[in-house]
Amino acid sequence: MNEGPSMETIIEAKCLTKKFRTKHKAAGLLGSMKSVIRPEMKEHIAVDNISFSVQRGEVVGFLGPNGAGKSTTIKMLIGILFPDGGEVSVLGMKPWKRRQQLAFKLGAVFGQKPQLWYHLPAIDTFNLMSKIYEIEPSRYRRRLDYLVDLFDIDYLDVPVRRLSLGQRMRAEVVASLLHEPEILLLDEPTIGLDIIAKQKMRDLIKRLNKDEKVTVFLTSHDMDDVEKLCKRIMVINDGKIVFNGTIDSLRNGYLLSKEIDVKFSSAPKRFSFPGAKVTKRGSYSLSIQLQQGKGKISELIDYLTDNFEVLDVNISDPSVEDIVAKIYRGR
Amino acid sequence: MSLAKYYEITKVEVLNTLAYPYNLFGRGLFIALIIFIFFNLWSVIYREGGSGILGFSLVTLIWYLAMSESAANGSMSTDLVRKISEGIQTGDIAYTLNRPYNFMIYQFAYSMGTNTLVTVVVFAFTGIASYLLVGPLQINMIAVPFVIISIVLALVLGFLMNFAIGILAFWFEEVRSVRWINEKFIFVLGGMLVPINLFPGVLRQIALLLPFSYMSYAPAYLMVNFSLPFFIQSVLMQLMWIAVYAVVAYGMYRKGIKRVSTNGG
Repeated sequence: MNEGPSMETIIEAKCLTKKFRTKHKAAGLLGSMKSVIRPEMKEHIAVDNISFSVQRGEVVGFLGPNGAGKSTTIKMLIGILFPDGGEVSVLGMKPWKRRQQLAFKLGAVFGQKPQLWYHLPAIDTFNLMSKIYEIEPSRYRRRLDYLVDLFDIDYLDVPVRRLSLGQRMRAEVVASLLHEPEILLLDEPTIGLDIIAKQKMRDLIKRLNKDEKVTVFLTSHDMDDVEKLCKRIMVINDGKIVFNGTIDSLRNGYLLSKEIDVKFSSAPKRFSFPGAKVTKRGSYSLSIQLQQGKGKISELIDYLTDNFEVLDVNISDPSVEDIVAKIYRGR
Repeated sequence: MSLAKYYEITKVEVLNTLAYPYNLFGRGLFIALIIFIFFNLWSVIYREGGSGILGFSLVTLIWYLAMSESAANGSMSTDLVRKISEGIQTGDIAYTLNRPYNFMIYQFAYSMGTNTLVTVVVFAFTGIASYLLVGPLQINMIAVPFVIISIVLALVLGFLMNFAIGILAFWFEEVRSVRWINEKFIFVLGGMLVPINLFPGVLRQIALLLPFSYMSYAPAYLMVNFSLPFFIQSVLMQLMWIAVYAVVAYGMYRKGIKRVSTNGG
């Protein structure tokens, strides 16, 4: 999808920077009074000189711990924050200059900021959206029929407050797709959903991307979401992009160890093997981490079977979640 | 600019209010109860003090209160102040910026439908209460459209006041107290509880210069004692205050929104 001659960059950020000035206050009453008289301002760099681009039709995962600069970046992309430095262009427009025009081409779902009217059936919000986005009535009808069918929404007339979270999130996504956006920003679209609802949501996002070539920019703390949906991920931490590449390259680049879990039929004696470290010790089991390049798996297995009464061996890679956590911690 | 979207917002918010009709009726019933209490209070005063107090008979006074309560309640009906100030405090207001609509007109459309609905419903209740307590009001039918104009302008002014108070949240952490004080001004200086005519001289003059009386007193007094000169005078004052509040509220919004530095990373 993100290769071939038809590549078209639709989001481009160059040296994007955003700083915030926040008031700092010492603890206690005295501190409060001081901050009234002479507030102490501290500058905080939320987004620090980041550059990236997104091609049409891509599904990109945008990850980072809380406070890393994700929302700030997204707000700059949709034009509701002015960058302090650098440049950003979305669909060829400078977002903060033409955010209303851009709005017609962007769809956004913020999992924690619902846009459906809580006490009314979803259809009322959909109708309102169709007017807000100035969709021609016949076109809106067709689009609504298509999305309602695709998203399996058989509860158009039920007040939103009576829907399950999964149903509500599907309706949220439909509300953001009515105006046929070219880019879909999804912020935690599966937050709080059960496994089935999550899978369903992922399948739908995949299908949309495939059928409509809509570009998806996804943030999530759910690594399963990211693994199942995104070919490429960008990791932001402390306002800087610390990884930008495919999931495979993330694995290859950061998989510097293997996890080996061994079970024994009798209590193991002293374990020692070059490049290996015991991470967990049970009375009849060991969890071992083997640094790649320092020791060979096959030699380790030989060593184990020669010296211990081995019942079972399980070799695995660290999960993407572990790898990303490692990146968050700055390795 | 398409106005259809704003009409749709009005419609959806009216539907939203109607989703809980008992809230609406409860409000009407509560105000009708207040009319009953006022009726008892004023009955005693009128029995002691003769038939007319500064041009008000008991009948016109009770009907005055039926309208002053309805108009004031209408202009204070939506939780606009809370909605806007919470949006500012949580930073969610930023997310309305990239919607293809004008924020202030959106809020206007959002408020006006429900405010009108509340005014009508409350007046239905207070009107019935007044009718049962003091009988019908002799009303000049020619006055009706003028009274309606006065009510609509009162609601517009009420919207602008609430909008401005909500926007204050850009600078102050707590704006509910401002809203509370503002409401008390409408209660007293706006003539919602007592017609301004009954105020002592200087206070009456002051009240007639302030915006509050044009949200409650003006439409109510026009209904019970219509005169073209007072209509013209009060409409001009309403328009003047609407202009002042519109400029101030919009200016505050523009200034505030520039400093949107929303919470969260």
